[in-house]
Order: sequence, then C-alpha cells, then structure tokens
Amino acid sequence: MNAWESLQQSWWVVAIQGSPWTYAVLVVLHFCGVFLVVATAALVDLRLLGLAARHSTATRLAVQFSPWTWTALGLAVLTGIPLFANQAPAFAAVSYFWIKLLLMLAAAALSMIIQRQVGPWERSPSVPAAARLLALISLLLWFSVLYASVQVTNYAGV
Amino acid sequence: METLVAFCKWLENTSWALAVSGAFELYPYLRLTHFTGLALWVGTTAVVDLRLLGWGRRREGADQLSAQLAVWNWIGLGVTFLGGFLLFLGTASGYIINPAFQIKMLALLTVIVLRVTIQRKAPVWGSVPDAPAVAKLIAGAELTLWIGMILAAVRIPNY
Repeated sequence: MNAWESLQQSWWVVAIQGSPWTYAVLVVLHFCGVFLVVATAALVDLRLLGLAARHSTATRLAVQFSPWTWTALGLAVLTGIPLFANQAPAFAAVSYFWIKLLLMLAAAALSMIIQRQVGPWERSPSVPAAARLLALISLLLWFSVLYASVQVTNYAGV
Repeated sequence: METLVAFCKWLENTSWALAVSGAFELYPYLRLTHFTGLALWVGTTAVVDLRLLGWGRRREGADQLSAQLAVWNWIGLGVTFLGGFLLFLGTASGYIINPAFQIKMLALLTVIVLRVTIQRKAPVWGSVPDAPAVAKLIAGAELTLWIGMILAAVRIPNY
C-alpha cells in the first residue's frame, strides 16, 4: 500500500466517505472558494487591462477584494485537501492534478504581486505596459487553473 | 411535466444535440465554459452582496460595485448558461425529472429575480454607509440560494 492509498484509508477520510452530505458540503465550499478567488483576482486584472469597472481603479478594487481573494483561496485549499484525500491514488496518478497545483501557486503569487504593486502602477501617468502584461498573464493563469481542474476530474474518472 | 419531458426528448434527439452529446472530447470544455462563467457570475454577485451585508472592507460602496460589475455579472450568466445548456442537451429528459436539477432550476429563477432587484435598488441601498435591513435580507437570501443551488447541482448524480 503506497502513501496515497494509506491516506485514502485513514480514519478521517473513511469518515467522509461514509457521509455523502459531508462530501457534498466540502465540494460546495470548494467551488465557492474557487469561484470567489478566481473572480476577485480576475476583476483586478480586467481593470488593469481597461476591460472592467472603468469608473473605479484597480487599486480600489484590489483593496476592496484582497481579503476575499485570500479567504477564498484558503477555503478552496482547506476543502481541497479532504477532497484530494478521498480519491488520493486516482488524483495523484493524473499529471493535470500536479499541474493544477503549480498553476495555482503561480497564479496566487502573481496576484499577490499585482495587489502590492497596483497602487504605484496607477499613480504613474499611464499604467506601465509591463503591468498590463502581468495582468494578462494572471488572467490566463487563473483560467488555466480552471482548465486543469476540469481535466483532473476528466482523467481521474471521479 | 409530461409536455416538458416530451419536449426534452425531442430536444436531445435533434441533430445538433446528438452532435454535441456524441462528442465526448467536448465535455471537459463545456464544463470549463460552465465553471468559468460561474466564477464570474458568482464572484461578481458575492462581492456586491457581501458589501450590502456590511462584511469586509468598505473602500467601494455597494452602489459603485453593483454598477461597475453589472456587465461582467451578466456576461458570467451568459457564459454559464451557454456551457450549462450544451451539457444539459445530451440527457435533457433525464435532467428534467431529476429532483436535484428541478431544485437547481427553481433556485436559478429566484436568484435571477433577486439579482435584478439588487441591481435596480443598489444605487439607493448602496449609497449609505449601512444598507437598509431589506437590502441585507435580499443579499443574504441570494447568497444562501447560491449555496443551495450549488449543493443541488453537486447532488444531481445521486438521484
């Protein structure tokens, strides 16, 4: 029995498997976390690109949303752990799962940089081209996280 | 209900529905479309509702957030519907008799009514530091319905 199989058979994972509603609630919270983190990060990016909330500023949006971005990411990760453990051998065997984790880390790191730098960027006469490029990369990274997530369930067959 | 089932049976046997439901390699992309739309729709809804409830930071007012995010809110709904409808097509008559799906659709209609209400009233409700009780009630109801709707969606395969 490898590490993923023993994780799947640990008592707390078995307890979740025996309770379909606990499992369903974890999935719901995971989705809510993912939707909120992706949307709040993406809206700041879209604003930097001039595609959303043009009567506001990316700085104001970043200040307003940042607590939700990180709370939601925390919720997604915390609920993601038992959901992974529930099917650990199947998920661990799918390369998209590990790609998803890497993309998520990259997207979160970039969003954190954007949140910190957006003030100075917007105080300059025009938003630097590099800032717009980072916003576009951030958008693509968050979208890739969703793409990888869909492929994980597709290939893991769960 | 019988008419509805008959309609769904007709729908899933149209040539274009058969083309979609036969293309299994398409399904991950339909789900991706559905989830991308949901992130936008739920996200732009939640930040306005949470602001009306007075939770989180107060840099932007709910009136501002609602007006500024309305476009992306409806884009989110449209993208969600596009992916969802194509996913629904393949087994329309199965979905329509599924109690979890029926609950999801009822919640969906209610959520759209509440969303329109909030968008129309936000300029008034969101213009004061503390939104009126009725605004908080409707915002709270919408968020609760969303959680219920996602729960119903997750439970569809169990029925």
